[in-house]
Amino acid sequence: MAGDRTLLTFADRLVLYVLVGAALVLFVTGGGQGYGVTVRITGDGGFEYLAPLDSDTIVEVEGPLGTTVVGVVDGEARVLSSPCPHELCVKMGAVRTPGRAVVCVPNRVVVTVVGDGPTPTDAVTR
Amino acid sequence: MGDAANNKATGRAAQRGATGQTSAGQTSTGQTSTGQTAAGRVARLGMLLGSALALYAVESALPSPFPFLRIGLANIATLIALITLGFTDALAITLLRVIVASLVVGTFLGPGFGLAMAGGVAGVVGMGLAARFAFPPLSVVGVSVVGAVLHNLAQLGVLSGFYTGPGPALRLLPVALLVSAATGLATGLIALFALEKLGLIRR
Repeated sequence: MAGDRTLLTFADRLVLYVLVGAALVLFVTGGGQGYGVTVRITGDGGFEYLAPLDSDTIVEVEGPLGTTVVGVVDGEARVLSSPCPHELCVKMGAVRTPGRAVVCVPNRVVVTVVGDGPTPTDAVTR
Repeated sequence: MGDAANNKATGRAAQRGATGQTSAGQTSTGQTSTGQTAAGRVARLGMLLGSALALYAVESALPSPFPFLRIGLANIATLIALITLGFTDALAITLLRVIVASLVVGTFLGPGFGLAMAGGVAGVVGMGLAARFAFPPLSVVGVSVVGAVLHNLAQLGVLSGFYTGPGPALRLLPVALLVSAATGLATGLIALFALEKLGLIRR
């Protein structure tokens, strides 16, 4: 039975080839990379700045304590430096998933990742 | 001499292919060799549902790198039901399998349940359509691949609609297509061998 050419019909093979071909094409074309994830940076007094997550930028936000520097680097957003006493916003690290945020309460800076579609769940139990 | 032997071999292979085609064509019209009586049909339905659940249990025990990466062994029972009993019974077995399995494991109406149900129904509908309209060109294996693809596409659809959004689902799409080609081929071949051993299909 092994190596039997009649095991699969021509149509069977065709379906398989089309599937593998479609998968390869999707692999090569990237299959949906860069689907519009943006970073919203808000500050004191109604300051708002929108930056795409896939291009690098540095944004300086003026707050009550001074200047908070927010960086979008390598598809991640983080607070690079902050005048606040504990620098918790710096220690929060980077965010990249829609719905995640870095917040600096003393200097009133909020960095939120915004994506289209529903925000992903944190975890799912079985 | 060598040429003659070759010709003979290919001739036999072609003949076998031809008889395979006709027997496949007969089963697609809904004729079954057994299970003609209502009691026989019920008995076979019960056996296939039991097999589906057992296969599901075996598969749950197998390790998998991702929760969505599954062979779909239970699909074998669905496929056999579809070929020997028809679409309605295959659908019934799929629905009952998903419900009973989720009740046992404790995921009934949970997030995984919606995924399993969507995948199961899409798979059986796809296989039903393939068996109804494309069974002579396709074999049992081809029908199985169609079912596996639709199963995975439906799951990705539910995933993108309710859980992750279109981005991650799109990134998984090529992987899902490759995986479903492989798993559909595997389960289709197993179903084909099982149908032959049971004497329900001739090649």
